[in-house]
Order: sequence, then structure tokens, then C-alpha cells
Amino acid sequence: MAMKALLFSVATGSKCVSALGVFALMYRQERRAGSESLIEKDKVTSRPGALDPAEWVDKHGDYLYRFARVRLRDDGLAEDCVQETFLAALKARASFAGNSSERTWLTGILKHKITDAFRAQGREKLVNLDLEVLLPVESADLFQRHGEWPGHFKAVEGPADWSMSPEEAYERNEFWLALKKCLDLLPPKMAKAFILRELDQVPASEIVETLNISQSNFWVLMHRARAQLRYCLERSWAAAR
Amino acid sequence: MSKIRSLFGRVKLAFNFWLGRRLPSCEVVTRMMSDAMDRRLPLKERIQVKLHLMICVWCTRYGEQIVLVRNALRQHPDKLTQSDPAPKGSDSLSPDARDRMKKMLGDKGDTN
Repeated sequence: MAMKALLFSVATGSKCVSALGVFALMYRQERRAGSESLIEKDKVTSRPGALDPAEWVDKHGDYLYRFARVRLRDDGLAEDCVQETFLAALKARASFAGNSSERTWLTGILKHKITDAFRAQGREKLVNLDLEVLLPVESADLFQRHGEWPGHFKAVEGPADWSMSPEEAYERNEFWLALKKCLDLLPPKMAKAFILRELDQVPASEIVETLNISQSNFWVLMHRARAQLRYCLERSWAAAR
Repeated sequence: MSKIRSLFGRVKLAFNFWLGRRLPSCEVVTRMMSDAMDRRLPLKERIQVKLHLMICVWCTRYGEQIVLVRNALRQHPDKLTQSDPAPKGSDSLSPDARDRMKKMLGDKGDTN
């Protein structure tokens, strides 16, 4: 609403209306800030600002472990990352400002540790991606190879109608289970790129640097990942309903 | 395939065939749609995708579905972590690791 008011004011150019729009925007931001602080208050169980390292493992250990495990897909590595996070947090706890919850703070550190782990793995194997190998077999089967319409979807294999709005799909537990399973089926490098990009919303330029791949390799990876995930979801979730 | 009887249906079908021949194939368009989610496509490719989507129900669905997956992860980043299909124990720290970390935190915590 605030945006609309602002746009309208720009369009008309009248000072009075534009002032109104700015006020509306300020009011909205204030409200949003207020609601955020409310949520934050709920999250903080102990008093804010006070850190209690002895209770970190019980309070946040499992959460951080799951957070790392979904992204790294490796139990041992995830454990190591959590441990390093606790170590780093212990060293840096003087710098904890107390304006976010303990968990948010620890998660922030963990994110950096995960990125470091990705980077270390990338350095170990400095191979350029073999794009032919990455071609998903299933996806190649989706398209016509011969005849009148080469490269177009086969009539029987074309994407099916999932007959469900995104919101409905997100409500269902089966959707998330299927998505998780499908993510696990992706090849490691593809999964890393996809998870960094979509789950953590890292800019493409940073992912390219972290995973040590070229720009166009990254786009191809993302395309393959999306194609495979979509196909896998259709087979395991949409078809099962 | 259902029989198309009306004149309009026939003309539309012929137009779709004509246009489909001149546009990149579904294989290329799916690639472009994915790229469009990470970078800005050149104008020519954007027009090609738009026109292709006008006549191709499969690519339209494909686009909707990959956006659905993207938004699933972007809008509900925690749900993936919360829904637990994994067998018991694999979604929490092992007791060993738990003790090790506690000990570590305890030791360091006292000296500081």
C-alpha cells in the first residue's frame, strides 16, 4: 500500500500527496520493525545479551546439526562444522552484541563454516565439469530426438499438471519429504550449487567463487538441478497423489 | 488427440505449428527459463521464451513448477530441516559428539 501511495505521488507530482506516501512508508516500516522485535523476544529464552556456553549443546546442538546436515549431506562433516562453530563462538563471545538471539548468532557463524567446508572440498578436486556426464538420463528421455519436432517434449513425457497451488503444496508434509529425498539424489556438486543459491540465497558470483567453477558451468548446473528436481518431484510426489 | 472442428481451432493450430517451427525447441527454452532465474536474458531470448510459452503448455507448466521449487526453499527455508523422514538418531547429534562438545565448551568456558 505504501508503495502504491509513493508511486501515485510520484505520478501526480504533488508535494502534499508525496509527503503522505512517505509517512505511510515510515509507518509501515515501524510496524514491521515492531513485529520483528516481538518475534525475536519469543525466540530468546534466556535473558538477551547473556551467553551460556555450557547450555549451547543442549539448546542449539540439534538444530545446528540439522541445519548443517541438510546443506552438507554428510553426517561427519556436519558434526565437525557444528563443533567448529561452537569453538569460534566461544572465542568470539565477547563480540556478541545481544541484538539478535543466541541461535541466530550461532547460525550465522555456522553458515560461514559451511561455506568454508564447501570451499575446502572444491579445492581438493579441481576438475572442470564434464557436462556430458551431468546430463540427466531422465531429462534426455523427455525430449524427442527424431521426427518432426526434435528437441520438443515428448507428448507422453511432457510435464504433468500438478493440479495444486504452490501454497497448498507447501502445506503438505509429503511434498517436503519428497523434496528432501530428491535433493539427496542430486549429484554432490549440483546439490551444493542449488542449495547455496536457493536455500541460502547466496549471489551467483559468490557461489562460482566458492565452488571453483566457471560462470556458464554454474548456469548449466542450476538448469540440470532444476530439471532433475522437477522430474523427481513429479515422479515421487505428484504422481503418487 | 481430440478432433478440432471449428475454423478458429484449425487456424490456431496452424498458427501454433508455424510459430513453433520458428522458435527454439522446448529443450532450449527450459534452459533459458532456468537461466532467467539467475541472470537477465538478452531481449531476443526473452521474446523467444514469451512466444514459446504462448503456444506450449508443457513449458508453461515446467516454468511454474521450477518456480514452485524455488519458492518452496526460499519462503520456507526451515521446513526442509523440520520435516524428518530420516530414521531416529540421524537428525540429532550423536551422544559421543554431544559429550565431546560439552566437554570442550566446559573446559574453555572455565578458563576464560
